[in-house]
Amino acid sequence: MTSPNDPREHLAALMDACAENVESMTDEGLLEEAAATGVDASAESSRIRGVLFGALVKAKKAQLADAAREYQKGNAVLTRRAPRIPVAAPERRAFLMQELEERPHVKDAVAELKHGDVPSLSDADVENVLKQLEALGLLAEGNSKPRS
Amino acid sequence: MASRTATAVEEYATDGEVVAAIDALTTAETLRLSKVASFRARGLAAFGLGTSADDLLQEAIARTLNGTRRWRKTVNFVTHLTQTIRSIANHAREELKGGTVAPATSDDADGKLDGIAVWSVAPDPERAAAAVEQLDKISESFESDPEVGLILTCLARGMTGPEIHADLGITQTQYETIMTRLRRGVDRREGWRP
Repeated sequence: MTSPNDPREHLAALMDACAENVESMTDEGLLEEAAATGVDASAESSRIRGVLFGALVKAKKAQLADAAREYQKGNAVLTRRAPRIPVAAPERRAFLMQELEERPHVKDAVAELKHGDVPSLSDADVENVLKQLEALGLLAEGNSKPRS
Repeated sequence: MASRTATAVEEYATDGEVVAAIDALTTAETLRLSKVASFRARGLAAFGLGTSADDLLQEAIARTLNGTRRWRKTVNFVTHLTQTIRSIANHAREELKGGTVAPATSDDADGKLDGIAVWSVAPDPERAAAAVEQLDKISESFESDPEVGLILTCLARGMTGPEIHADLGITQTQYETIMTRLRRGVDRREGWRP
């Protein structure tokens, strides 16, 4: 626990005041000071730019890795759930029709996903719509076989 | 509402604009960042935190890109980075005041000092003794400069810059002039090199 008499606080306050003093300096003052103390300003400038770019690349890589993980997760969900959807195209279409009949919200979702009536959709569109409905959790739980 | 959202989006820099801003930094601006980060890191070292100036600069960029601390384009880029560095350092110190160690995790939404090696706990008599020794040596090196001595006393009392010049009856410019002597002296004493 720090206290008002904590010497670590005093030292940190001194360093903070020094940082704020640097913040208030003019560009010319900084360059003059570097020259007066024998600092190679150009070399230090390149080094700092390298540090900043290095951090930027690292952060972008982390973002890309996150995006790839999310993509794989989404793909895995679609793959895992796909077997619930009938394999044969006519059964898939019948299953979708049944879902539309029994669950009005599915009809709204299909209208959002694909414009046009279900009968006019291609087999590939029907499969795609079912996969998306499945991924969204909008299909009926349990057996996906359409009633005959 | 839509225009409000559009304004908010335009207000913050894109990743590409951050790249361009780094590329456009002048020599003086990079020197400023280097020195500011160095003093903030030395403030953390007082508490035993092994965070370097480069660590602080890298963390500031990471937070700018991951959205934890986005860059509002109306603010100068260097000012944004120095403010972010100050915020990172303050959060790290607050953690230590509570006697806890800031964990190095990848999620910094909680404002902790993440992705940076942190190894210390708060109650640390050795560190306190080292700070006393360091402060004594700094004071000794300014024995012939009473103005700096006064500033050191005020800082030890926990006073801020504006409080100090109000208390001592000096102008902001006079305060900065004395602070510059103090800062250069600290650098000389510690043999700091970029």
